[in-house]
Amino acid sequence: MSPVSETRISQFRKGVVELAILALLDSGELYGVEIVDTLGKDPALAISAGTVYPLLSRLKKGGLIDSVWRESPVGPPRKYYQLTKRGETELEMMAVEWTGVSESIHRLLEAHRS
Amino acid sequence: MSETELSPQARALVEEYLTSVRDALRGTDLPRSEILVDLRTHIEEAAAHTDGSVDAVRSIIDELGPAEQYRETAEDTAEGATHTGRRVLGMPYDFTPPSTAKFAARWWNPADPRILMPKVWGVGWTINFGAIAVKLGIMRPDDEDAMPFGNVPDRVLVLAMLVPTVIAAAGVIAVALAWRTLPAEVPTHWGIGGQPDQWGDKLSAFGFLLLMGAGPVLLGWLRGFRRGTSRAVRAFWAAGTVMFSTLGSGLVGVTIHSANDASSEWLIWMIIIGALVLMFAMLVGMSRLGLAAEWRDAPKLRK
Repeated sequence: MSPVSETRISQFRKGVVELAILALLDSGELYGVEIVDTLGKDPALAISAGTVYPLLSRLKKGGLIDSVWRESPVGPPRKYYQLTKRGETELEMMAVEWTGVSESIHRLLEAHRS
Repeated sequence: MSETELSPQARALVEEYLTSVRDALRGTDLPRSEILVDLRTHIEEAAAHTDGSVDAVRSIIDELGPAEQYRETAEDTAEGATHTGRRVLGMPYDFTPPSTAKFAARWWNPADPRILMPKVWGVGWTINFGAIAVKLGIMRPDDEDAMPFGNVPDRVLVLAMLVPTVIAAAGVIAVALAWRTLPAEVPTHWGIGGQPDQWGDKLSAFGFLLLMGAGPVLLGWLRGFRRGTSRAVRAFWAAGTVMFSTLGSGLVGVTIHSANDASSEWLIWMIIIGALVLMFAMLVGMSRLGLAAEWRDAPKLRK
């Protein structure tokens, strides 16, 4: 595979994982391990910690999510992530775009099968 | 490009925006002039499809976002590029100017599990000490933000920079004390087994080693710790120069030790490993003290 298409696929994946993280946080704040565990459990997504943490850092830098430290019953404080106002707006927009793309792909695949 | 005539006010608006982006990019290591040329082209091309009024130009600029945000996006893209890495003979290389973002992405990046990263500048790899700390269970991957060391107390950073300073000074003192008893020629190179296989004039031999140890430390105080530098910059100078000072002063010790034909089999390896371990310890130590300060000051730290 050429480096260019590899980059493109990884960009595409990154976008999907970003959307997954934002969607997950929409139902409430979570700390890193919870996010990794939830996303990792889904075999179709198969997202590893090595993907999640750099993205969390990027999303935070972009102002889409924010974090707070909270005491943990075991060990040191945990960093909890939550959506910002901008993150909520972004999630809504991305969700609409994603639905559009996935519907189109679905239609194409249906046509291909018949 | 077909010229839609921009009104003078619209033109002034474009210039004003470009100036604000130029100011925002100042102090970063991004290719400023290239970015500005691209940006101007983009705005002019977008404006060519409009009536060229102030309002039309304003909406183009609004879409690009404020200058600060534009800088962040540009930095993000540059950071992303550091990860893909170009390769020569199977080795990654990078000759773009070093930046704090690059040090953060490659020397101390706990979020990224890769231990070997492309060098900040040059050909080959560098160690991502953050990934090692996570593997050892000393750090969690998200203990640091994108720009690390943001909460390390200032006096901790000064103390950290004193570590390489003391080590470099120890090398100077050792040479001063041993000078009279040293032969005119001292070992300058050792074989794999630690036996000296090259000898040289002692002035140039020690001059080189002391320069290697103390030079970066001096630069660290002058450049890294000058007024207005960020905590991350200071932390990376302190950790980076500890490597040089340990190697420099360590090799001074080996040279003095082996000047009288004493063997130094494992000493050199110990020094190299010691320098890496010390650098690691400095990064972990500063990071943890920064975290402790962050937790202490966190307004929302509660159950």
